[in-house]
Amino acid sequence: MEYWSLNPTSLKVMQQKRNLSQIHTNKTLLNGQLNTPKWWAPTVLILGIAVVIGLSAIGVMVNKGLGVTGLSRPVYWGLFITTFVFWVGISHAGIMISAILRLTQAEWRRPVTRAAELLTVFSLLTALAFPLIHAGRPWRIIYYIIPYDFARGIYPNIRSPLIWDPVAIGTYLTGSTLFLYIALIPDLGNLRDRTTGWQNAFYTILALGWRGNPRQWKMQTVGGILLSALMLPIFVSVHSIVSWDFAIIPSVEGWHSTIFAPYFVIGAVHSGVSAVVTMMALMRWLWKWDDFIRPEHFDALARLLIVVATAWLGFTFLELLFAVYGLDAPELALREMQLFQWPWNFLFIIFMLTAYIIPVTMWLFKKVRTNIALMFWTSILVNIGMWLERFMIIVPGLARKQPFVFTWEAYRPSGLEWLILVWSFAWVTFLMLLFSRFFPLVPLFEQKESQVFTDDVKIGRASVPAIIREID
Amino acid sequence: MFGTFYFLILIFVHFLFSSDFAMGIVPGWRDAIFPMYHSITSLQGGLAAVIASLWFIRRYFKLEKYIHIDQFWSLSRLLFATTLLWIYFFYSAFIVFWYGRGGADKAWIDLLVRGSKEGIGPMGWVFIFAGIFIFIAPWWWLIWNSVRRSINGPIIAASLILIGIMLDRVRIFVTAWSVPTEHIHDKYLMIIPQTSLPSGLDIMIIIGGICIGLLPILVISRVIPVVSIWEMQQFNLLSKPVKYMKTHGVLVAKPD
Amino acid sequence: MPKQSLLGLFEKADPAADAMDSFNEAGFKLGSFDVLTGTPYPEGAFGEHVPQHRLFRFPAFGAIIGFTLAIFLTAGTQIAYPLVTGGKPILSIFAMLIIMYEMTMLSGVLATVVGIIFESRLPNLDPGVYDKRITEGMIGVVITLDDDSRKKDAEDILKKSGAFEVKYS
Repeated sequence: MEYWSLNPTSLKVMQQKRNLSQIHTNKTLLNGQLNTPKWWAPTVLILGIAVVIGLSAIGVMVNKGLGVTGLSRPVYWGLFITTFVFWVGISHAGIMISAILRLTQAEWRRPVTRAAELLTVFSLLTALAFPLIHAGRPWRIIYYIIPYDFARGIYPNIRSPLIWDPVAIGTYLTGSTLFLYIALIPDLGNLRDRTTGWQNAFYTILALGWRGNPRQWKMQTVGGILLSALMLPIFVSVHSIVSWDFAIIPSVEGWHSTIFAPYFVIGAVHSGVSAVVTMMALMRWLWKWDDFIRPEHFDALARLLIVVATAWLGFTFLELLFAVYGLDAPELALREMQLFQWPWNFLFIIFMLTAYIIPVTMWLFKKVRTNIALMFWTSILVNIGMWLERFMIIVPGLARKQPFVFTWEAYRPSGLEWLILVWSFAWVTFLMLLFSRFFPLVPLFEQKESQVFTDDVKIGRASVPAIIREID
Repeated sequence: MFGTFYFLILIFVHFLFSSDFAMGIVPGWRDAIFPMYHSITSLQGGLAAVIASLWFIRRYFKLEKYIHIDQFWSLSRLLFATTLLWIYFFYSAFIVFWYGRGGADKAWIDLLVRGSKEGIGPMGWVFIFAGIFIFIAPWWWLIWNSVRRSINGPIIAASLILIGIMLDRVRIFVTAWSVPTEHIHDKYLMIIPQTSLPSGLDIMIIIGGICIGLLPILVISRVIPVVSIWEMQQFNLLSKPVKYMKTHGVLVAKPD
Repeated sequence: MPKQSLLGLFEKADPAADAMDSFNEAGFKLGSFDVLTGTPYPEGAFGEHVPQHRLFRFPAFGAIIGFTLAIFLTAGTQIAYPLVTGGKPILSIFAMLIIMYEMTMLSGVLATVVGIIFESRLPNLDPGVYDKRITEGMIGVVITLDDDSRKKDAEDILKKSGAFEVKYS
């Protein structure tokens, strides 16, 4: 059998085509923890103030009641629920990137995975807050989700989708937090070796005595794949269950559609992966990780996004088509309102332009895909569009004038609601920055692993990047 | 590039088939996921057929040297994923109808899942067996890594899936076409039509239909090679076993 | 006699692999020597004893427990307070399925995480001899001896293979 000769110590990083020493990798990727940048403290302070303002707004709302919002009959689900669905959608980035790319052994996933998982955990935490805020009396939610009889003889009604939601989101949140932690252990070992004093004690406890022997590495690899395979079905189920909050209700036009589950999931992937792009651009700029987060990664993500966005557009089309296909008068009236009546027609055009037409047309060009600033702005556009999509699904169906209903189209989001919406963004960024102070945002060991596993090979005169696969 | 358009055409064909030949003739059946469900099951059936034909080609064309366990391994992983997709797409539709409980919703369940208004009708049994053959049995069989990594393991799951998908298609199309003509303009289906049972002629047509699909494949395999030779050669060029320190691996080159 | 560990530090991977081979040839007990790296290497790259594990049993076990609990929880709460809502049966299987599914998966994931930590032999309260440079790219070969009798042999092997430093616990 013919063997290619391979010298593992002179291996190069596949995409970067340059050899990064492990010391350099440590120094650069751990700068958030060991050598915190100057902008960090003031930024966290400002975000912290924003978070406190937002929390006060929530406090005011809990104190005064839901009357301070624009919600009333018939529009009882407004900005809060839209934002809830939006953040659940963003949370789908993590597992999408980390699990699917791990299972398909895509090499470019390496710098992206941790950031994506992190986005999952923090956006899910935020999403979870919104139904609580929306309830107005958050403590009362406990009566219908905790399966315990609080001296009233009443158990939660598990037939209600409002129970399915906390169960699914709780599962997803627990799972992805643990997933994040398991993949963090080797890097915690690294940090333990680089720190002294109380920091060292902190990382020593968290690293659980990590040494880096073959058994532990094998568990990282096998366990990572196994957890990915388990998280994937959870990830699909979570947004499906969120979509069934709407889809199973026959009385609101535009909601009772069988396609909602996969439609929401693919939309969530679209907005989630875009959010990862936004976050990666920020990471590259803020921590100066130009060696690790490369234009190639943006290129790969943008190609993925073109596919996801087009599939999502297909589902949007199917949803619309089969809504009008039945020729039910109320359904037709709703669609007419959504597409042709002010202000919904305006929102619809903005939604279409931002969620698909502008970004996808731009991503078709390689120049755009490898331009980080353009990728940053297009990914933000996608998320504006995807937020509008959720708004267009939830509100018009409720706001439409129905027979024998004498209040309609009464929804104007109040300033307080907008404030709480803004709070959610400040809150996620705040948590993210706080995390970055203590834990690395790019998995160091994965970055180093790619140096061990990849090489360039010569086929004839051409030099082709290659990866080693284990025979097992 | 060509592959992308090919895939889009597949989706479109199934969209047309499912909405025009099935959904269009059942009053009140408004099911946006159905074209996707139809495409997924067809992909699953296609995959199963590929595994089955690969197995036959390997066995009877004596191509053991070229068709390895690797192909079966990766194909059966995909097949496993499609069994889960089937239940996901089916359940996504089912829970909406089951929960909705409107007239049209109930009619859908009675007609296409239970097969009758009371209890389980003949088509209900067809559905149950389709579910066992498409999802439960192959899922439980393919979940074992040792089964997926074998030559004769995937073929069993593939055969079950092919039978199951045939049954599922029977459930959808035979039921859809048994709706009486005078009812197809109703708001939704108030009656559940009698199941039409196949006659001897029907069964012969089914067998003939399957055979007419297989015949040209066998005829053409006489003239053109069944394994793409240049792709095999490219694979040989791009992947080599390597000695990596004390272990062995396969180095796979990835040209852009 | 207390157990003693030696750690040889190597700059490159190949000499470390040679040291592992020499330990094997010199008749040291299989499993008493191990390699420590800052990054995963392909399995068996150092000619090491490939670790066996039973990780796949954990999720199966967890899933069974979760599923059983979910049946009791869903069926139990519905029977304990039988209230018909929306014309659905008291034991609504299709609604129960969703909760059963989530609880099965949750319990499976929890068991897997426990399994990963357990099979990695973590938490390791007594990590033994170690060097911080391993996470900077050095390769460590560690050997644990029951007594002093072969300490000299082990040290020689490490030095001869090219260890630039040998540490003792």
